[in-house]
Amino acid sequence: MAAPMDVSGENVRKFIKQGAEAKVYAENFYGRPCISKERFSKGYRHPTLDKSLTLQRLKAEIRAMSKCRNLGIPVPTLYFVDTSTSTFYMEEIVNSQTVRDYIVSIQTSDPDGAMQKLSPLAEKIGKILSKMHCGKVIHGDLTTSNMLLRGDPSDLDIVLIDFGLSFSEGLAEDKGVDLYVFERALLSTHPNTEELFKVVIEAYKKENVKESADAISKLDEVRMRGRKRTMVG
Amino acid sequence: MDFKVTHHLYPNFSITLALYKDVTNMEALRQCVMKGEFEATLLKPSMICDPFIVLTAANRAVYLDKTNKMTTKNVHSEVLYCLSPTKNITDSFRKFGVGDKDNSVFIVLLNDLDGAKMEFIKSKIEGCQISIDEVSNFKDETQVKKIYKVTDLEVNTCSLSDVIVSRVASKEFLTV
Repeated sequence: MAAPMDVSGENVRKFIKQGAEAKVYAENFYGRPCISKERFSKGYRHPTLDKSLTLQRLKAEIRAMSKCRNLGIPVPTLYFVDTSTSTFYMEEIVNSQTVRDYIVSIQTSDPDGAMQKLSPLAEKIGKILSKMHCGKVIHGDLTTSNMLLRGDPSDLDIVLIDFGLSFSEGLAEDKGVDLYVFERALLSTHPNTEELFKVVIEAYKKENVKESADAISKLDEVRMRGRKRTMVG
Repeated sequence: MDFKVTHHLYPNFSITLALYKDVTNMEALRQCVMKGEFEATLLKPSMICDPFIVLTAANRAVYLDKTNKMTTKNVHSEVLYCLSPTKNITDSFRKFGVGDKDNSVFIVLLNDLDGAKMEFIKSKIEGCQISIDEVSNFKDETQVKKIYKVTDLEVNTCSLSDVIVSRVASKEFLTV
């Protein structure tokens, strides 16, 4: 069970990506491939505010990840948190592809049978989202790029990543918005996936009939008005 | 046979791990550490299911030392505290520190780049050194799961070792 610790490799930080709030690097953490995410400071914010916001968001991200782990949702293993530079180090999910790439590859190789082939995946996604929402975790940025398929895609071993916008909330409103964000992301990145989203929702309902009903009805409401609540009256 | 690495953030700070079995003078060893004859962390091997967990705890302890955020008195006791899921120091020592009656010990030694301190400690131990990877043979899984409050739900998604590594790394943000 103990993984051999090969520490001969020198630690070199390799830049991968930068988003609005953080930079992501690949490196080596005592012999294990690791991803580090550094929330950089924003020069346009007041230093005190900047510090407290960055720390708050780092905390929220780490808490959401461990909450998901407690709920039995696969997330990367956390290795180390450095609050002084607002960086955290987590396991790199090796031998994986994003759900996005997988859907694209299936859709191009077999456009007619895609729906059928992707159904089990959609079901699994619905199940995971339902579990997550039951545990009062709102991901905040559900896209097909933030879901990884580990190993053989047919194993449906989905790992959720990027909890940078997540928060803890049990309100149906937030769950509805979370689902709506995912629907928009799915439909805009992958054409003709309306049916697939229906499968996601069906599985979402089935996993927890009692609690999902409110979220689904909120989803319909959010669809009519968009993600932001109207503040009239 | 000991395992030595330099700290992830501070390359001039080393972490050395070693595992001993059939130790006959545990009581004397503990006295040595308590009297300050040498500094080291003496862990109970039955509480460790993977050396990597100790490495994450030691990594964190050194970091806390360097940033002046330690909870305990010195960096070696901080390793023990980092490893433990509770915020109670005495409790951490009792659960993860080696006891007088134990006959195996997992040693963590920090800041020993030239290996001199390790040599000194080795001269004090009456026991047989084995590879740190063998620590999994000593583990008391039920006890480990109980202390870290690991649920079956978690172990289904990843290994017990990974669950604990995450716990150790996120300790300061979790309320127990």
